[in-house]
Amino acid sequence: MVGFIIKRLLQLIPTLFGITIISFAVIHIAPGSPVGNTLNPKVPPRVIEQMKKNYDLDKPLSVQYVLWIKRLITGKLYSFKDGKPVMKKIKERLPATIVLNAVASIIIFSLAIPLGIFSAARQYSFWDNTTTFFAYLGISIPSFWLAYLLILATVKIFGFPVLGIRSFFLEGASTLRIIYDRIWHLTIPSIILAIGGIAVISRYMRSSMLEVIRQDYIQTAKAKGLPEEVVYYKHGLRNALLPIITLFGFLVPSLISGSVIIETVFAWPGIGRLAYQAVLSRDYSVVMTINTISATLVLIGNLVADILYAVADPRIRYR
Amino acid sequence: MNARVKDFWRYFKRRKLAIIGLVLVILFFFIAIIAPKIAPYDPGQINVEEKLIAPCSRHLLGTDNLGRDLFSRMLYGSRISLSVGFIAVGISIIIGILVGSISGYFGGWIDIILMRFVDIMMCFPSFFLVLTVIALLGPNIVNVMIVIGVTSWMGTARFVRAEFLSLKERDFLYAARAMGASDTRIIFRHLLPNAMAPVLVTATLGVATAILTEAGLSFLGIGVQPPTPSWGNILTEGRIYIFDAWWLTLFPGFAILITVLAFNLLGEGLRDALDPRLRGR
Amino acid sequence: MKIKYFLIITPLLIFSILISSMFFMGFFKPHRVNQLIIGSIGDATYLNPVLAQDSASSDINSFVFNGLLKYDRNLNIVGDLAESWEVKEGNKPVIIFHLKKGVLWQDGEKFTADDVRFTYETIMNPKTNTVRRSDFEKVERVEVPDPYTFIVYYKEPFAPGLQSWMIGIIPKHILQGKDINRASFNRNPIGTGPFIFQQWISDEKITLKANPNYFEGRPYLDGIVYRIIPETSLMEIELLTGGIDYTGIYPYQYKRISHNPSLRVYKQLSHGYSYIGYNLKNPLFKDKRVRKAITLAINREEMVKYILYGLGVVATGPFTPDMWYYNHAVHPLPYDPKKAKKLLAEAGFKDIDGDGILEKDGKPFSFTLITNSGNDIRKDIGVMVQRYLKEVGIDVKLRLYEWSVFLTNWINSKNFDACILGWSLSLDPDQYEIWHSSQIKSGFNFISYKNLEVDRLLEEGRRTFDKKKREKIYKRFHKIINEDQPYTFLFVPESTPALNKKFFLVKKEEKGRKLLKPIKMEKAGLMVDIIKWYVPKENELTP
Repeated sequence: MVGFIIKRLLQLIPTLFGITIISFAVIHIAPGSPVGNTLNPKVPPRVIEQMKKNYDLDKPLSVQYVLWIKRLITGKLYSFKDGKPVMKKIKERLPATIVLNAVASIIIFSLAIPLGIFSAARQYSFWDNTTTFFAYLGISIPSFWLAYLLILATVKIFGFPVLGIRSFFLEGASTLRIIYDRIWHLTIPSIILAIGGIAVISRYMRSSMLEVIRQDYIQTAKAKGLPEEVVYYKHGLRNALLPIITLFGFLVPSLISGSVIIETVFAWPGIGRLAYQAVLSRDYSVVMTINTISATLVLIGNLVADILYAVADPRIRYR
Repeated sequence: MNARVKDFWRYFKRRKLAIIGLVLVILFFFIAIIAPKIAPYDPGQINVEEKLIAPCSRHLLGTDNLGRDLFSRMLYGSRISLSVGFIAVGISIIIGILVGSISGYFGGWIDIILMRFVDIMMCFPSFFLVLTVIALLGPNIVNVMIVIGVTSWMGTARFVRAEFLSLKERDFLYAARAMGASDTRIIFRHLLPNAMAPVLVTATLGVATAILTEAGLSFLGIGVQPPTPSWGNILTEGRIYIFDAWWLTLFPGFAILITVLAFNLLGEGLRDALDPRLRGR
Repeated sequence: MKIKYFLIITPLLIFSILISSMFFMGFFKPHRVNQLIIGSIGDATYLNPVLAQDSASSDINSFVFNGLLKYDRNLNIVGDLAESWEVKEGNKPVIIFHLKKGVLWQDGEKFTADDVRFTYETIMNPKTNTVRRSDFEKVERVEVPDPYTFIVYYKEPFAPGLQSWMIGIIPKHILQGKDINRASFNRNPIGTGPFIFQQWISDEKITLKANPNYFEGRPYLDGIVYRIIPETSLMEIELLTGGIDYTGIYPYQYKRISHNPSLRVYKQLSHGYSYIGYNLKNPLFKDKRVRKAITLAINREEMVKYILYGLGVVATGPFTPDMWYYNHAVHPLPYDPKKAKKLLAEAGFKDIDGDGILEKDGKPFSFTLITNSGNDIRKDIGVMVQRYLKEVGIDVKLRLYEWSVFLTNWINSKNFDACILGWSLSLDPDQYEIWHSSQIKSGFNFISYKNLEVDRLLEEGRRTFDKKKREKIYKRFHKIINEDQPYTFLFVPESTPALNKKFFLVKKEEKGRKLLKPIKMEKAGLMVDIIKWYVPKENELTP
């Protein structure tokens, strides 16, 4: 087991290296630069050149790459946009994104797993078709469109919109109200963020369950006259959940991608919006760091999933 | 071959949702093809005096802020959205098949390097990658297609490789090799046709994703560029008029929803019908 | 069995918690407080006037910092931190500033001329990442003879120099010896201004409170909150529901927002214009008649009416009509497609093959019009121009590029046919950087315009301090530019800020009673008297 984990950890190193290279290359090949992005007659090119020099942007790309890695590790990396340390910027934004994604993930798994089982148990029935249909409806809705419709609906119902991470006029309110205010602000964005995921995971759950049901031991259990529900929930579920664990690793990147749009629509001060703004203003250090961090998160997610899988299913280890 | 098709159809036609999806997909295709014939107006025809007219008999779906007929723009938009979907998926499938089959067929260090690369690509939130690459290439319809294609081939590559690995040890391949068939021949005549079923399913689902991605990019202002009427940018342009002209937001969003749904349902049906393991009952 | 119930109950529980939160909401209503909430699309970057480049930061900085000089409500230059100043004209002009005494930094330290010198030196230090340096490059040296006198020696006459001293002065006692680019000061500014910085939550809000020791007296408002709302439709909802009090609005929002009973929308011509710039290196546009024909073929009145919803005027040249140097004798070219066709024919463009597109020497008249994406007004301009020019037989391809790409690949590398852009102007008429031929190579004359008389006028204009002489120079310049049509000047839009009606201006205070009057749009903008703004309590609302 330990050997397996060490082997997987060692495999991460070239991948991480590749990730930093691609992050660096993509943003540096893009036209434009973090300074001089304005058309302001009061800012002559020589001033821009001087600024580039101050930022080491005049050095060869290889040198810049080494400098970036060095600064990233020593924490001396600053945003081009406002001179703040990049790590501090990310630390400020990360909680908002993590909370949003965590709530979305909870919604996804708590809803998708029962839905998947439900569908599988009644394969091709009316209910199965209905859930299938709604699952696909969920995957197919343009999330920003739905978000707009929901925002308009809240304005119509409550007379004011639900934006950002908390209400604005809340000085001196009770703790309970503040907590509920946070929850209220989380509700709509996290549901919208979750919709696509629910659909995907419940489909996987369904087919995974179907596969398990067809296995001999389940058929045997059924033949022995055990009640169907016991068979499904006790024997089937544990095995059907296995492939779902690995999916968690893949869910992370798509949730992060999804949060770019959701965070813009709901004025949610999270990492997705930060990354999007940073791409537009060519804030190299922020873009590269966010790319690297999120890719690392995905790697860790995959690794954890692999380990869980190995723990749960002994056969894996010997492959 | 004919038997296989018949067999497939027997299972496929039982899936009602998939049939609905197929019918809708065909319908949208038909609309896209005959768009110029049925569009009542030129989609670029500006008529500022008739701006923001609500749906009525003259303008079935109303007009936009420059007085262009929304119905005509939506009809032409179906061409853009569908072609973005198809070409992007085409690119993604071709890359995926190439990488997957090279990796799976030759194995060894080629396989290791390619699969590491696939891992790296899969680690990036694809949307960030699309965002940056679009910024690099400049947003226009061709680049949007290329970028969506270039950032979505990894799944295909993985399962084509897996399929190859499992097929590689089969008897018919040994026979083919013994008869002196070349690598290319083995890949294209023997291996690929066997891996085509899942590729077809991914492609169908991929079209749906690509149409959605294009809409998302347009929403952020970096998709297909106006005045080209893709559904994504009709929706985005209409968004600021949401209080004056609900039709500019509602109809394109709905069109995207239905099209994407149709492709997804079709893909699901294909998956069921093509995968013998799922047929059971 | 337990598992089954667990699977059913968990999602139900989660959803009921989420949904129940909504019953707590309806009670949150914005209450009437004596503060101004400003809505902004973008977050600030540097709360430091030396480093700030964006408008959000400049807005905040204008509340926290003061310059030596400022514009009064009628756009005359008056003293701010300077009590008075003298200009000694000549080949090497000198400006002597006499500073106000008794001005305090918000941390209690005294403000002196050393702070001014420190600000100047910080700007001139090449390590400082500032975009303000070019304003001060004509300065030879500065001198501080005593704590309340600051003398600037210029290398040569430079009329726009005076207004550059409106830049916010930063405190020496806090920033000396620190790396200004990364100082924590940039996020916790301390100035001399009417409002004190309190808190900045990134991408959410920035709060300021009134400075009780402000040298012009404590502002009547208790504070200012700057809320960041990244999307215009959401901004509008917030404005209508009282979540924000003040924001700039777009023309398409004007009608419905101005009908709202709790809001007042102001109108004022902005200091800027939109234009189509022609790359004069391109043989198509070398001929003045062609450029003129294109302008004639574009219905700019209609553009103002439908793109700006009537909120703007047709532009005639590089100046805006409310300025003292604007030449009212220059009239806009009319919309006259017939004459345009005639001019094009004179220039040799005729439709020979009958496809509706003009040709010259067998080549069709076709060009690419580019602009940046994300600007709906420029996009609509492009679409309409494409249409207008098609009618006179010119084929236009419209391309939109993301801003950085647009700038790097197309504008700065002069790799374009024609572009739609806009200039925001400063109040000084000097436009040397845009039109002088020395600025073609690496300046902002990216259309490569060259006219020797214009060059001469621009050089003379910036060396002259006399307002009357400058007026003559710039009126002549305006006329030549209009004749040459290096740009098609499209329109000067109106800026339309919306403000909640609960704000009033305190005219004066007598025996504890405040005399109120409505807030008016001044030439220098709405916010010029911000320290006198006030939200009266119900009992104070007597006419």
